[in-house]
Amino acid sequence: MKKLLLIILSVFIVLLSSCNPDSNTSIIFDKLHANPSSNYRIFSYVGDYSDGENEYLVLGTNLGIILYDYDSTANVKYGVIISPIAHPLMLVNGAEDIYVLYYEQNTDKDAILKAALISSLTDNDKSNDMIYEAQIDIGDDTDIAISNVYMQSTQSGGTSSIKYTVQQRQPVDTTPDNRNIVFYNFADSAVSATIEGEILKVSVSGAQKTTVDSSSEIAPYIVGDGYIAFLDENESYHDVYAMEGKDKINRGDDPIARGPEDEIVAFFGKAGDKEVLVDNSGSLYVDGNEKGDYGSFPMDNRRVAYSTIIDDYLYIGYKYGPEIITVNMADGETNSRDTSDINNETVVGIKQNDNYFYVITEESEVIRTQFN
Amino acid sequence: MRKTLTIVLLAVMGITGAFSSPYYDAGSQIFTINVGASVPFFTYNGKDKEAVFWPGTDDESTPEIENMNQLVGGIGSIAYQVFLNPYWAIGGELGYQFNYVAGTDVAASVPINMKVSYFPVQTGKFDLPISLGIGLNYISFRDSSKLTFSATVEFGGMYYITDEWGIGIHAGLYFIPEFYLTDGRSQYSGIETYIPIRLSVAYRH
Repeated sequence: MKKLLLIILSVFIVLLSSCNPDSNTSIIFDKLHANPSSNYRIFSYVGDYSDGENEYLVLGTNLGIILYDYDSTANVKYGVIISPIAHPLMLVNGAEDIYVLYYEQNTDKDAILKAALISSLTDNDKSNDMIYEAQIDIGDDTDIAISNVYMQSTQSGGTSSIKYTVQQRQPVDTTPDNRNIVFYNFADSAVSATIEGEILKVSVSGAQKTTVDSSSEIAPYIVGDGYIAFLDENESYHDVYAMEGKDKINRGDDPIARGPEDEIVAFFGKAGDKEVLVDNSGSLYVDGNEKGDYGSFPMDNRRVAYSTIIDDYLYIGYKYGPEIITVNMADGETNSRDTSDINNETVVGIKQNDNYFYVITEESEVIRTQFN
Repeated sequence: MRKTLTIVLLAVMGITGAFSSPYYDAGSQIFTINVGASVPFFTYNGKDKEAVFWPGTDDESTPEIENMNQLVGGIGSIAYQVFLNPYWAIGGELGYQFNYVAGTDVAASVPINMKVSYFPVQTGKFDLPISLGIGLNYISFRDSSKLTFSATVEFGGMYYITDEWGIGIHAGLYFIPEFYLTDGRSQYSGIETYIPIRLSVAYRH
């Protein structure tokens, strides 16, 4: 009997020593009932989707696409498992269903555009059959062709739109070498850009190709709804262009340097008639003037991770939190919206729905809050 | 009808007999293997300070736990008990329980309990024990794990086909607490409860 007790006691000690009660990894029930995606890393907010009964946030994660129910933080539907290098781009309306468009880049910098049928994301049996892919031709042709899903310009009822229809079609030519591409949906157009500064915008009215000053090896990147940032030809400064590829956005006399602090343009957008630019270090430019009349940010070595403008308010989220900064673009009032739920998490999206704001963080939380 | 009457009569005789002459002696032993279903019952957490019963509620005020997420799972255990006197037995039980969460993930627990049972009814053919178990519990969910405590209350019935071998069914309540008393993390505290329904095979000696 004593031996039995000793064995049991030994097992307890081993189990106890394997656990750290002060570690976040010890928390069980909160994760069990809260957000089932809580162990995934969210890296993008893709869009909104409704299945007729519920509204969902469509989130790109390191393990796949998650449909996150707005009204129920526990009701999360899992998507297909997509490789970690997948970059969800947008939701597109197909002939009969909605697709999540995403791309992958291989080591040769070729981009492979894929489309997954969103209604199949929760159906493991169907999901493998509902992903379409092809390499992208951004060369001389004006179309973006995808195997099985073919994007074409159509016009119906006087309303212009881009339509994705399912067709059997072989992939077109491979992407030219040494090109890096970003895609974005903007004003019913699909936009791609190369590191050489070529912006291709495809819409119902045809394709528009523009070349801007850029000669770096760093890919252009999206800095806001309808804006792309490039390194300038000397690789010293970041320039922002509208996706139409027109004139360079004026930042006044203080361009965003590619300095030792690695400042880059984090966000560009418009609040009313004001042009708002936020760099990675937290500096705010309004109509080209640094900070303008607005207060300074309590950066404390933090970096801007996400910004957006909603109803004339600028919202800024940081890498590793812990707060959201809001700037009232009408009067310049700056406030810290410190919510304990954000903690030290990196903000990747802020979305408003009804009376709530949803702060999406990289560390896999969707925090419902109300900024008063 | 005659068969039903016979069973009832036997049961009454058994109960009566139980109080007149117990079957077990001090030193009698029972080894039991249990397998069955684990039904989530209710959860209570430190955030909302409200119990939510399975399968959950749509109450907007408790969005964090409005859906308990868990499905009916499985449970299995082995138990060994020794009688201290004709009515009381003590021993231990090692178990494993799993419940699928949101369709893909598994919440698991490994309870290691000290078990005390009272046998008010024992005829030699029938036992109706009431048991209390308390001990440690290793719980895990995804990449999180924790050693905590557990408690069970259970009742059931056993029918012995031979002198040694019997079969039966048990049901009860299974409590798993998760307490954080320091570091301002009380909001993560909670209690998880299940109703285990188990079929048992017992060997006694």
